[in-house]
Amino acid sequence: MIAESYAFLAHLFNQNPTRQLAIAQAWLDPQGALGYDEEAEQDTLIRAYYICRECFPDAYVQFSEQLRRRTTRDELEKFALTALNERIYPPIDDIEYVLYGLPTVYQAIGWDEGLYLDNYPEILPFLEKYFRVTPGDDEAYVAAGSIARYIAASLSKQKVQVYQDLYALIGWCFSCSNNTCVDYTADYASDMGLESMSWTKEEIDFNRYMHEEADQMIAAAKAMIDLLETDALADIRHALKQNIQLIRRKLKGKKHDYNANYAALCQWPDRPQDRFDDEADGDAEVL
Amino acid sequence: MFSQDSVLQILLELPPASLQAVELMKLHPPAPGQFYPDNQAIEESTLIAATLELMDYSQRCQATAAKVRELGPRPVTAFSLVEYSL
Repeated sequence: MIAESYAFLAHLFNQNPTRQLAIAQAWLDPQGALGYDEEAEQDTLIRAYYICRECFPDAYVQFSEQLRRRTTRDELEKFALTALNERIYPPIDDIEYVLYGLPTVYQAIGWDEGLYLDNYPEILPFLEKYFRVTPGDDEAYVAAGSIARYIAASLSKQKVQVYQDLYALIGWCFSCSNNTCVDYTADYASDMGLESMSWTKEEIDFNRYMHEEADQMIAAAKAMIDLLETDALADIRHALKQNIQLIRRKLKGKKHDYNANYAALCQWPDRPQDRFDDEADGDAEVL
Repeated sequence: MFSQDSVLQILLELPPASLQAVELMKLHPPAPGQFYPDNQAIEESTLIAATLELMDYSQRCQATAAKVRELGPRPVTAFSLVEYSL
C-alpha cells in the first residue's frame, strides 16, 4: 500500500514540470533554493557550504549528500575542512578560517623584528659577504636595501634561470621580490592594513598562485646561497660584487636617486639559454 | 496587442526546459520512502554537470525575472481612443 502511494506520488510529480524542477533543485542545489542568508552565513558550516557552492561544485554535490544523510555537525565540519583543503593552497588548519578570509603564509626574513635570527640564519653569511650587513645593524641593512633594489631590478630583466634565482635571493633578503608572501611578515602586513583575500574563485586561484610562487622563490633563494659560492658561479659572484660597488658609489650614501636608472648600469656575464628560456618560449607559443 | 493573460498563456505553452537534473530524476526514480534519487547510482561527473546546469538555469531565470520587474512604462502611440476624444 505504501509503495503504491509513493509510486502514485512520484507519478504525479513527474507529470508536472514545475514540481519536477522544484524537486531537482532541492536535490542538487538546495542552497540555491533557500537563497542567500547573511545572518546564517556567520555559521562556519553554512559559510563553508556557500563557499563550496560558489567555488567547488564537486565538493558542493558531496556536501549536499552529506547533509541529506543527517551526518553530525562534527563529521560535517571534518568533511568541509578536508574538502576545502583538497582544493586550496595553503591549507587551513581550522574550519573557522572560512569566516575570516583565505589563509596567508608570510615568509619575509623580518629584519626589523629579528625573525631571521631564528627562522632564516642561513642568509647571514650572504648579507655580510656581499652587502656588509651584520645582525642588528639596521643602518647598514637600510643602506644595503637601497642598493639591492637596483640590483634586483636589473636581475629581474635577465631571462636566465640562474639570474632569476639570484633575484629571488636578493628579493627575499630585502623584501623587494614583488611577492607579498616573500616581502611581508605577518606583523608588517597587519600594520599596513592588508586584509586576507576573500573566498571567491578568483581570489582562491590568485592566493594559490601567490603562495606557489613564494615557495618557489624561497626554495630558489635558499639554494642560491650555497650555489653562489661554487666555482660554477665565480663569474656571477664577481659581477654581483662589482655591481654592488658601482651602485654604492653612485648613491654616495643617498637612500634613493629617483632620477637615475642605476639598474641599467649593472652588467652580468652571458649565460647559455636554459630551462627558464625554454619555458618562456613554450608559453609564447601557447599564447 | 498582448494582454497579461495572453502572455501568460504563451509562456505556459512553452515546452519545459530540458535539464539534465530532471532527466536524471526520470532515469533514477527515488526508492519508496525517499524523495530524491540515490546519488550512489549516478556518476559523480554527471551529478556535477547536472548541478552546474541547474545553477546556471536558476541564475538565468532569476536574471530574467529581475529584468521583467524593472521594465519601465512604454508610451503607446499607434492607436487612438476615440471614445475619449477631446
